[in-house]
Amino acid sequence: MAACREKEPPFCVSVCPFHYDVREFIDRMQRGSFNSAFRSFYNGVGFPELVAKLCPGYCRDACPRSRYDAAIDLPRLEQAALEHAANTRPTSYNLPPRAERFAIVGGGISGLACALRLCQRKYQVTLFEKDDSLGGHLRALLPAEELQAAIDKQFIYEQYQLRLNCRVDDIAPLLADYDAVYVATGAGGSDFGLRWQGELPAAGDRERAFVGGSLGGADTMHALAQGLNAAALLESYAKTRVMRGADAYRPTRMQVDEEVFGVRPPQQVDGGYDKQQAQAEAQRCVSCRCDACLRHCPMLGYFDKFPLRLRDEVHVTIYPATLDHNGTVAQRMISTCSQCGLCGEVCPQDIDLGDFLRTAHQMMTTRETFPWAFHYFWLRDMEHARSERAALTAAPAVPERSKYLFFPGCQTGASEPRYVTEGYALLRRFEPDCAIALGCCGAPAVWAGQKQLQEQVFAELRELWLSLGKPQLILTCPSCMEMFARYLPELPALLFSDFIIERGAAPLRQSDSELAVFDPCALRRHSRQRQGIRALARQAGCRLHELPYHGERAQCCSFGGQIDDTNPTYAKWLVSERAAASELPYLVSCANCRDLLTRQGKSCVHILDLLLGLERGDGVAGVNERLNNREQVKRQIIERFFPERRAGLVSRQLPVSLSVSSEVAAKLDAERILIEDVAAVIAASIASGRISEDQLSGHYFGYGAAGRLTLWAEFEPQGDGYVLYNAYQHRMSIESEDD
Amino acid sequence: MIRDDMPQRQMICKRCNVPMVKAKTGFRYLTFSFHTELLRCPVCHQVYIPEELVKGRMSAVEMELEDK
Repeated sequence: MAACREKEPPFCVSVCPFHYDVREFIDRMQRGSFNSAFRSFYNGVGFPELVAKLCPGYCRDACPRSRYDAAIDLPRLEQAALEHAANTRPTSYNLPPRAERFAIVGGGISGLACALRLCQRKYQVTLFEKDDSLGGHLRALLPAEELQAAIDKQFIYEQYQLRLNCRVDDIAPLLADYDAVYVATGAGGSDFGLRWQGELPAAGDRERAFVGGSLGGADTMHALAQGLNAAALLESYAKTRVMRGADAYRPTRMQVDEEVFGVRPPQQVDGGYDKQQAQAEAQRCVSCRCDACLRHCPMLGYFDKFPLRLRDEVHVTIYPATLDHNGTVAQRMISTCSQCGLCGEVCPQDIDLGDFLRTAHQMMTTRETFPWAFHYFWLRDMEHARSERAALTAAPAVPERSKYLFFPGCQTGASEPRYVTEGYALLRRFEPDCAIALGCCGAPAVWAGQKQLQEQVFAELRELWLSLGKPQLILTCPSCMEMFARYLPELPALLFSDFIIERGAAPLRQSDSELAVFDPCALRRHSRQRQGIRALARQAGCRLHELPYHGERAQCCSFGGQIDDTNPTYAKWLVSERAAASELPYLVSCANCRDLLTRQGKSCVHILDLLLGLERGDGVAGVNERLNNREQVKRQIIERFFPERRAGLVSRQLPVSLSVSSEVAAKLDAERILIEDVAAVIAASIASGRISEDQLSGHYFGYGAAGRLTLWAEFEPQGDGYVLYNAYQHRMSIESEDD
Repeated sequence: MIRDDMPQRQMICKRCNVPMVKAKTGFRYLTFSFHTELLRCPVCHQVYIPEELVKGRMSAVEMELEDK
């Protein structure tokens, strides 16, 4: 995060002798606020009339627009601000006078600038000038009246002692008599034997003496800027009695995306800009900022937070300053990141906020105060996929010598059982000894910041792989692929589509659909897989189009990070944005992308549909159906391929018989309520007798714990079972009933 | 937290066969605990919480506490 360039100044500011806030100036000019734009400029440069007239415009050489059309003409904009501002009088500072006394040797522009700033701060200033007029070398650049008027204007509200015709031969008396002295005698002027080093204005090698301006080789504008800065050095010395020169100015390290510039050709204007022309020119400026992450990442845009601010909020969250938990501002945000890696891809410094937030997440998760509910559902889902009910490891021949292992992950079969059963059948035709393992790659633990759990899952996977003789893994899920690549790189893994290409097999289904390819975010770093999927789809007859964000820049469908319980509004918004990226139906390669987008109303074709010759409607399995699908997959794999293990299959029965209408079933799915939990709560309520009844409707109400949630059921006896009318659950727990 | 605009119900405790009455009830979430009035059985103290409350005020409080 130290490499983040967010705070770097824009190029123009970096090369400007004054480093004044050009973005602020431009912003005001864009809006036609010439008065306040002028103030911006004036605050930075001290003598606006002189600078507007004499500055050669170093900024123009630095402006990146010059690569595309033309540099922003900042000098002409400054002149326009000066011309169109209603009030260009200097600011009158109403401050009490200060006692410190400063001497300035040299009435050129550097000395004058120093005098100006010190006077504005109400110090006592005496300026010594050897000639009979002020301005130094500017006298050769401007007519005398114009120069004098510009100088006088800035000193309207100021007072200082002016000693014209007063040549200083020895500064020792000045050093003794004044709190500090600024020597700005100009090019070729006397340096009084002083030596100095480094950036100007500099501390001389005699106590109280400071040096700057053309004496040190500065050109006109830099001499002026140095004079302004010198005032601060003198003031600081007077307070601290420590001789310090100006700090070296580090040039900007900003980097801006090419794509923000566009083409905005300038107008052809001779002479000064009128108001409209000035506004138009200012509007060509893109206000350079390193903001690729903010522009591309929907989460940063949604929260409107730059990485450095995010880092600060996370820091405050991890180390809250308050004792009453008020400091944890970023808990929800930490859990809202999809950890999709897009930011790292677009950042010129490769900063991946997902990595940063995941580490923060891991630290937070060990705290009592971190909301367990954010990932509760998905951790429980992973538990199911890894449990006896759904998990399976089976090998046809000698297990320890399996060359291939089919690992479809936890969601592929839950979404569509045939992806696993037909997928495995097809693999077995090519490789009769191909083993199969049903389980989970551990992504939910990673996304939940559960470091210990994640390590446990990975250890078990590694163990499984070793026990099977280090087979080649064949995966169906891009998220599994990314998890294996990142955390278990020693396990060789391919996608199902890669295997098909390797074997020269053809897709079983032809389709001449016109599709937009929706790359899963998990394949960001896997270009071979992305190309393979496209090649196979084309082989099947599809005509493919690319989305604006594709390939390495794929945007997450919203499944990444499993953020939907943490931030349902944001997750919903994200899916709708993704679905709207194209009018066309999508080609997907991840079951989660498919399900989320389909539920959003986007028509999808999954690459496995083409490879396995499957037609799917637009149905999406709800939470209960998904659990059943997983268990059905295990049952069918055993029945079809390992019938000798049939005896081990256990048929699961609910503790009570429940009749559930399709409306109620839909509600349960929408609220992630599991029917088995409802049945358990009803059974327990009946057994304990702890039931209430609404006498108007005759409905019973029972409640009980479903894991960490409290689940309520509204039901009635019917036949030898019950009919379920409603169910709902909450996170907060009811305290003991004995009070 | 019981409001008059909730659907009409007449709740009784089926175990003790008596009408439920408003009584103080304690809740806990994360490290916070608080009390509010809910329908309870005066004998066995079992609780009744309607869905409107769960989806409304309780859900809002849960989110607030998660953001703390």
